Amino acid sequence: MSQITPSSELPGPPADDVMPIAAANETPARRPSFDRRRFVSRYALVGLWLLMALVYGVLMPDTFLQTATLRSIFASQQVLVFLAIAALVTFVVGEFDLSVAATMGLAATLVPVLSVLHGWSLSLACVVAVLCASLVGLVNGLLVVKVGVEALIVTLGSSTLLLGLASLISKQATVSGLPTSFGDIALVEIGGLPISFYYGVVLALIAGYVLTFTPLGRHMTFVGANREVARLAGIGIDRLRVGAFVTGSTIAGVGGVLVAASAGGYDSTSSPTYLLPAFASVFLGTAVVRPGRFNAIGTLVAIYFLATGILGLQLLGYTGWIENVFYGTALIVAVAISTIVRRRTAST
Amino acid sequence: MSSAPPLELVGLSKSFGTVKALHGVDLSVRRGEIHGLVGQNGSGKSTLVKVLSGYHAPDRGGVIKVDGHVLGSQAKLRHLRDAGVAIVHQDLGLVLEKTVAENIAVGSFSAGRFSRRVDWRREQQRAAEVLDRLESAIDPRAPVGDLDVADRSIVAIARALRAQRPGRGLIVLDESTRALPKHALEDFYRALRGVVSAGGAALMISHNLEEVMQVTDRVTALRGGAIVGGTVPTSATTERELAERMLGRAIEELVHTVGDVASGDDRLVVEGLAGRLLAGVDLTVQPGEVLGVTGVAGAGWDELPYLLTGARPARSGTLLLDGERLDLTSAGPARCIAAGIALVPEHRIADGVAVTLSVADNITLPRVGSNGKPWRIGSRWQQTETQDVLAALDVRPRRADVPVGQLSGGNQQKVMLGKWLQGRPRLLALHEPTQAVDVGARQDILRAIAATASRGVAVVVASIQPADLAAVCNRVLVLHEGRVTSEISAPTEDGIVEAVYAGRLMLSAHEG
Repeated sequence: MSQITPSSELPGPPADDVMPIAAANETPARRPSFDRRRFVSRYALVGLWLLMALVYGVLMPDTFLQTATLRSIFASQQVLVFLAIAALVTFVVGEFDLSVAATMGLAATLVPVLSVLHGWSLSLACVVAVLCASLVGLVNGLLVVKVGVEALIVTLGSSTLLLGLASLISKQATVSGLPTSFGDIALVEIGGLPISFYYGVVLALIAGYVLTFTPLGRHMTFVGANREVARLAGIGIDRLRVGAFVTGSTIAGVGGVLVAASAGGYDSTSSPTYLLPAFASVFLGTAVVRPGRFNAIGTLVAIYFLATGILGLQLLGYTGWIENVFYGTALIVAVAISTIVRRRTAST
Repeated sequence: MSSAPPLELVGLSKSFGTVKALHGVDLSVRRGEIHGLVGQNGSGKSTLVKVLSGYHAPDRGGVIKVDGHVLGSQAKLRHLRDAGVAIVHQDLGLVLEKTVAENIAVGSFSAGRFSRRVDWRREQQRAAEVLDRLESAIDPRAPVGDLDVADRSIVAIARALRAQRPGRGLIVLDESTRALPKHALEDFYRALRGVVSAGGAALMISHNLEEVMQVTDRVTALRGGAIVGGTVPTSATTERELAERMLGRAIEELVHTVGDVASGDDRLVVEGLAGRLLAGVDLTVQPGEVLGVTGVAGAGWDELPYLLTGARPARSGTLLLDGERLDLTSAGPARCIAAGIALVPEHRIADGVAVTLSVADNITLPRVGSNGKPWRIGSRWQQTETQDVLAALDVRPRRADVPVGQLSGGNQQKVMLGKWLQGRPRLLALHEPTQAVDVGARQDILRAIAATASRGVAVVVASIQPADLAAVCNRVLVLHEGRVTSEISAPTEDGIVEAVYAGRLMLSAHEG
């Protein structure tokens, strides 16, 4: 912006100037009440999900079409929902955070370590765990925004660092022994599903509402879409970017507390396995509901879509390696799809 | 040394669809000369550079000859470079983190035959040789970022020279001096003159007539894609004559939309405004007045809109708007917007609109915080604002939900303007408001600016387009080297061009 560039004369082939003639002749189009193409592009993934379920149902009528199957799809993905929404918050403002999984792991390790090994009260341990997660976000955010280090470097570094710290405080072992009553905050069943499932849905709904309907969400979206446009509109872009890191890490921290509660403890080395599925879901989510945009409901749909795919394959007898292959493929396919969709919606 | 001209164009045309950007251009650059090519924005200068750099293929029938070799109409970048055409671009195109030798060698590294490794010793030696030809003592191993601007410009010329054998080829300078401060220009011109007198040739493309008069041997003017009046020796023409050729007498008169200014108090008083190039400017604007600011590139006038609106911090300066005082060294965009100041920036894709987001979202952005509640933006006011903009500025298609990137340039510009007009500003500052838009959109935009002023808004338009300024401004300030050198109270296109290019003459006449 600071250089004095002349207005470009005849920028390239002036498709820019030719196109409006066609557009101008068109009568001001009223928005059609039902746009089939738009509907298809929005909900293609939902259709694919149903199709996948149908195929599995035909292949394995005895094992797949069971309420137990349904239950295990919907009762097992809470951590992923928290992590994916945490990642989503930074994606929306145009940043990203590779350390969400490690942050979640740190919180999940701190709860049993503080309460079981060091005898702190459970509620205090939980609060401290979440605050530590927020602090991680604050440090990441300040390094990225104020110091100007690439988010990739900062969060890759802090991710590895946190993994090491979690391993240190847990003395490189799984710390368990949390009281089963504590597990109730995650496991109490409502309508056949653990309460943490509903936490995840509520979190996604809140995130979706904030991003779509509030000034805060609109500002965040513009910071992600064009930071300079946002700055010139008077939006405090640095505050929002740092805020996104803090919020994302805090959500990851709460997710960590829930993980520790539901398992009664935590193995600090397991954190990295959560990262890729979370990122894959967020990207795949950009193909649903609001194509081309990061969105919370799309992310939620994507999580359960991927979970269904994995479970089906496992029931078909593929185990172990299949999870990595499937999530890895899904991430690449998801990003490829969202790149194409974005290019089409942005165009010119 | 070959006797054929280093560059000869015969009947060169370039069309984009039905638009002819270049129309039968004949041009011959002689060996040993610096040849000036002048023209306004839109005259086809850039298209010509892009043809010469192999970016656009010219239409069939045209001929490009380099040193007597016919390149044919499908000349690619590589063919042109091999033939000896080298381009020095506007921003010099240097990578600051890399060394002088690396920058000079880029694009044509000499590599080991088998290892394909870059032979750095050879590159440094070649860089030193080229720098020698320019009589420069720059160290080939120094990072370009450590050099001062003058030396950087020498490196850019050295890169252009690198592939050329002495006494052959052609250097094309595409507004290359635009970013250079005055003290660096002397070195740049001297190096260029050295190259040319050693048997090279240069085509200097510029819209800075002062520079063209000072540096070139012969000069050619482009207007509307065609050469006007042939090539003439620079010594046989004047700045004014060139300006007239560039502009043309028969330019279609656009709507003259200047309204009456409500007499009374000054709405806007700016004192001691200084920025990167601006060196202390005072100005006042009355409610309903459109004030234009212009000058040659590098004179600092184009900083004004950004400094006035808090988009860039000023080095010094205060702004008084309806009695409210703002310190422009520290007021950011948020405070300026709150004070009723709006900016329509030049680069709409970079600074103006978010192309992936919808028309409605872009238009309402500055007000979602103030018009909405923290827990809900609300949809009715957004619809009203959007429909207002779509209708008032005749945006096509009239759709609120399409991403702005799908609109044409002119319609994007309207969305960007509408976004700020909906905020009912008291001061509106615009930079090149009609840049790269078609004729119809230009009319709509100029009309909207005039209509805004007639509602009592103070408007500042920074533009290099005399036609735009003449169409909407009540008054135009012409800047030279960061200061106001003349004020035109009844601006006409010719008057503005004259003041810009011959500003010093007018100034001395005023004083005398």
